[in-house]
Amino acid sequence: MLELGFDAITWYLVISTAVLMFGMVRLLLVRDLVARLVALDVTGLGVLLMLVALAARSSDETGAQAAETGAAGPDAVLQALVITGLVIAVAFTGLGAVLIRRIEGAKDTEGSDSGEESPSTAGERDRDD
Amino acid sequence: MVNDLLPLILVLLSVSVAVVIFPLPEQAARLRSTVNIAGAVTKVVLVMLLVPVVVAEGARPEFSIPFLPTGDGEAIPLVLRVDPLALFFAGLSALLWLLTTIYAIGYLKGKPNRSRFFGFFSLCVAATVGLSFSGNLITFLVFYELLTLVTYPLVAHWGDEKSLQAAKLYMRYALGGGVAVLIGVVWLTMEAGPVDFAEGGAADVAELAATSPGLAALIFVLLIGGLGVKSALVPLHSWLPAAMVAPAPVSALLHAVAVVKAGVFGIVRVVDDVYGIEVAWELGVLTPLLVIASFTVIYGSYQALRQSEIKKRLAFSTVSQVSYVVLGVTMFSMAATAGGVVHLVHQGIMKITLFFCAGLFAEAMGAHKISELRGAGRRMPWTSVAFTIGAFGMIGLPPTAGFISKWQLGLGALESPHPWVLAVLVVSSLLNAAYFLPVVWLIWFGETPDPETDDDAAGGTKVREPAMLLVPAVCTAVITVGVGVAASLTFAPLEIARFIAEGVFS
Amino acid sequence: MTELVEFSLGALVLLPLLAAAVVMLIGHTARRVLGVVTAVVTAGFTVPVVATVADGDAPELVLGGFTAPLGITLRGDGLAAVFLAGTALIAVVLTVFAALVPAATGEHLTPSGWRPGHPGFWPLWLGCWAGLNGVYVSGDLFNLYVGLELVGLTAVALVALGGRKSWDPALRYLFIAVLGSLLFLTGVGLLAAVTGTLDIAQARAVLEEVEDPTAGLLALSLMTVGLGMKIALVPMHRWLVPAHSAAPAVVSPILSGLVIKAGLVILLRVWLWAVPLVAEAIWLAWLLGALGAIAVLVGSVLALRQDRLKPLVAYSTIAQIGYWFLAFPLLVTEHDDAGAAPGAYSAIVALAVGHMVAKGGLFAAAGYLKLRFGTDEIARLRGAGAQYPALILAMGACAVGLIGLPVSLGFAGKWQLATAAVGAQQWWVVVVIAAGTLLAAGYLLRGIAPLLLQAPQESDHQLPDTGDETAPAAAGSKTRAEGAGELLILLLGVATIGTGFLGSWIYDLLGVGLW
Repeated sequence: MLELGFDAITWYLVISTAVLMFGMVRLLLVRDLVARLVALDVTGLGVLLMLVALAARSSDETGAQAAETGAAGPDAVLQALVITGLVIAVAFTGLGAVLIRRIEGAKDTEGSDSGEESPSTAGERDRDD
Repeated sequence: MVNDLLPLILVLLSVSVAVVIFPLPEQAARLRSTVNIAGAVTKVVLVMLLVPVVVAEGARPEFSIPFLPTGDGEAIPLVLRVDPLALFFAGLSALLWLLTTIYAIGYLKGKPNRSRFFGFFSLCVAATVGLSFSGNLITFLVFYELLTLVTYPLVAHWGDEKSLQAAKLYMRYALGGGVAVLIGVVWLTMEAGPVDFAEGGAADVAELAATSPGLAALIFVLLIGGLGVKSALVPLHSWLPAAMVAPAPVSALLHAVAVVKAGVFGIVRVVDDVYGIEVAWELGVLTPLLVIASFTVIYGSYQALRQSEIKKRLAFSTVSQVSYVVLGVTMFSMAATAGGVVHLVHQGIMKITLFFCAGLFAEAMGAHKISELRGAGRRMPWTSVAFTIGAFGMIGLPPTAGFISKWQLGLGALESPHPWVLAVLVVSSLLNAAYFLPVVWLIWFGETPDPETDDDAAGGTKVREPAMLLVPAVCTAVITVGVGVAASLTFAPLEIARFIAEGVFS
Repeated sequence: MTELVEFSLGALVLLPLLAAAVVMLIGHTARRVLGVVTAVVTAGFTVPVVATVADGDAPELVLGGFTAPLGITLRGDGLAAVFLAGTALIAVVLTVFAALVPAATGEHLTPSGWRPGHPGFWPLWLGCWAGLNGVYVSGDLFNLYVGLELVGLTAVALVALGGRKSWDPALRYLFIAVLGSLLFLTGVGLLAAVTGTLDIAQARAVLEEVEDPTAGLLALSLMTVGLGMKIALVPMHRWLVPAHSAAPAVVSPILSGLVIKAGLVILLRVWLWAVPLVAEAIWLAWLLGALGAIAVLVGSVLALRQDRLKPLVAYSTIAQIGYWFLAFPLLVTEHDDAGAAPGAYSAIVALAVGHMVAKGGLFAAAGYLKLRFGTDEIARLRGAGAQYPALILAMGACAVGLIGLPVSLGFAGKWQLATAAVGAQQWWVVVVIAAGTLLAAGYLLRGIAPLLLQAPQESDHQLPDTGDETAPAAAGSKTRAEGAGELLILLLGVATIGTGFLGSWIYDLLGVGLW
């Protein structure tokens, strides 16, 4: 039973790493803004998954050690982290969504905006240097 | 107690003048001039008060605050200390600042950006005074860099393309030199600990020179190389003629007191008070420096000969003359050191006279080229007299200050292990004569230009010489002669220089 | 006294946070008033904390009675005190500036078009400040994380206040910021899993017992990479330039002066306090040092090639960031050479705080010029100095700090870095510093000198003749408030010089509560 549980946790760790990697790669490769935002969320999901797995794992391994130092146990700590991370991820996603909506909206209303060069394109040009 | 605060007060005095002047509106000329002159006069008085205390009583007023941390918990302080050499240089800058301020007020009358100009002008003097009072290498470095910064807006003052180019060149050279000095100081500090200036050299540095002479020599090269930029040692001199685009008072200040002098003053400090002349001699670094200085003396004179613009000729003359100081301190004889140190002051007074006059010629007659000075003696007699005295001083004719310097340097050369330097002095004096005497000839005996071909110079009629510009020029001309005549009085520059030289060789 | 100090520690975080909430409920003018009041009071709370630390104590506050690991512990040690003080100075100046010149806070869309000023600035900025203070005084990784995220979230939103052109950069910033914090979070989680605690002191104690350093090293690497993204270390720097140059006038100095410092403080906490792995992590330190050197050189060269003021200043930030990382290899040679480590640590802090003040002033000046002239193209700003002498003076003073000339903290920092490098025989560091210094002089001169030129013709640069509605009003007559705003920027310039005398004091301060 114990061995089976250990395996399950390792399994979780592997999955979470895969999800994380997938999200990151996609984040770097995709140009579409919404897709990037989703990729970012996927990455976040991977991280949180990993934290949960770690929490489960370390409560087995170092629970005794934590008890010695008077700590409340790693799982509680990690779970607090996960919850906070979740909240923050939601906040960022919301902000990102608002920004994307505005950018798309601006593009729609302006049509082909041939005005001054935007700072971001200036940045793109610098990248080529 | 009060004396200990005096060096700080002297530095802050100029800073506060700047702080008051910066926000003043352009039109408030009278207030600005009052503040300026009051500050300058106060400064001269304070420095004079210090002379008997420091030279006769042997006091060394000192002010210090912790500045940079070191690994072992003890901070390197910023030290302002008044020793005879410091006082010598500070006295020069205080006096010439007063005169240059008066000159500049007249020169810039009715021109734009005067508050900015005088603000930076005051900061420049603050940096120079701080530089002279610096009690250790770090403090010296701080004011050295500060000087670079505050002179930049002065060189760029006219705000046209040409000024900005010259200022940029100046900045490149000066900052490059500054970085070299910085690295040298860092290195020396790491190897020998924080270096306090001490008569006869710092003990820690002597120890370093004894244990690892190669390293000590390398650091010496870094320091002198950096300082050589400001003192316009060939081949690091080309910023100086370019910086001639600046307003005349700025050129006067750059050449006579501030920038170039800061460089040689630094060299004197490094040779005499950091390494100590004995240590430097044993390291074998003095002779190469002497050769470079000799070359600079000759090369500068030669280039001066080739210039047709008054200010350019004066600029190359500075390149040459300033190296006399380096010549003096590197010859390794007491008389020569005294000669070099006294030339620090003499060259300043003489050269500022010449620049004042060049500015006068340019303002009153529109003369920028030497050929345009033809017949100036009749049109601007006072200016011409002052110019002639300055030129004679540069050549080293008695009874001017220049003669005293060269005599002393000549004596030193004979005493020193390098008697051949005497030949350098003679050749350079001949070259000096070759490029100054024709100008003087042209001024007094040149044919008055034909009014038909030259509209600006309306024949031989007299031109009004603005008093604000003329008085300082005449003052420095009088001092040039006075210092030469009264060279053996107590507290005359030569006597103080001898006193300093004795300290160096003690 | 102790109670006041403890109260101050809490108030430093909670007061701006509370004000950020309150400010959302009130009108636009009232926001400016409350913002300024909050700033002044918060800065006031900094005083007792810094004073106590200067006396050699490290005050501590346990919030809500819970102890670590689940409770919240706030600590005021030397590092915290230095950054609290620096931040308080910049924050008060910028807050008053924003209140005086509302147009500097961005622009917002009304039914009749874009209008200068964005009321959303106030809650975001106060929240950001709360996050910054939280980062400085946090004694545990959890709060560090929360503080960092608060700063990051508000920073992204602050960029977006700059109107249409700022949204793209803001989004780009958001992606990298979140990615960075996810990596950081992973590292924190790993560390917590190994040590069973998030309290920095406890984690250190446990880690010192652990034999196998692999997990700790992995955590350290993850956190370092994540924070590197947030600090914009080369090669993770590309988001910074568009974000910092597109941000509104008063936001750029906040981002460049303060926000990236949050990442740096956490990095120092992690490296020096939480993970005692110096010997094992030496390769990572060397990697950071190499990247730092590249950042100094590449950032400076790219800054030299800019034609516009704000991107130039932004690239200068990238170069300056490099110096902090340049010191990392020296930070961990502790075991070989005793003098180097504290010197390098103090150098990083001095450089960072010096950069905080100087870059705050320079960016504020650049942003203000852009606001007034409708452009920040250097060629079109020729002669702007004639109208804004105070501003140019301020820029010059800030440039002194950024070049690292005396007297400034930039100089004190470079001095300490150079001496540490010489002490450790790492000559390449000295070479990089020298090259960076000269390059910095080059690009700053290139940006500032044209302002000193005489204006070419009849002030044609004053007219934003594009008719673009995003262009602000022409540089007409200055209001008194704007005149006061310029003096505030000058204050930052003066502070750049004035803080130069504090190098030694900061060094002593940093010794308080050291690991």
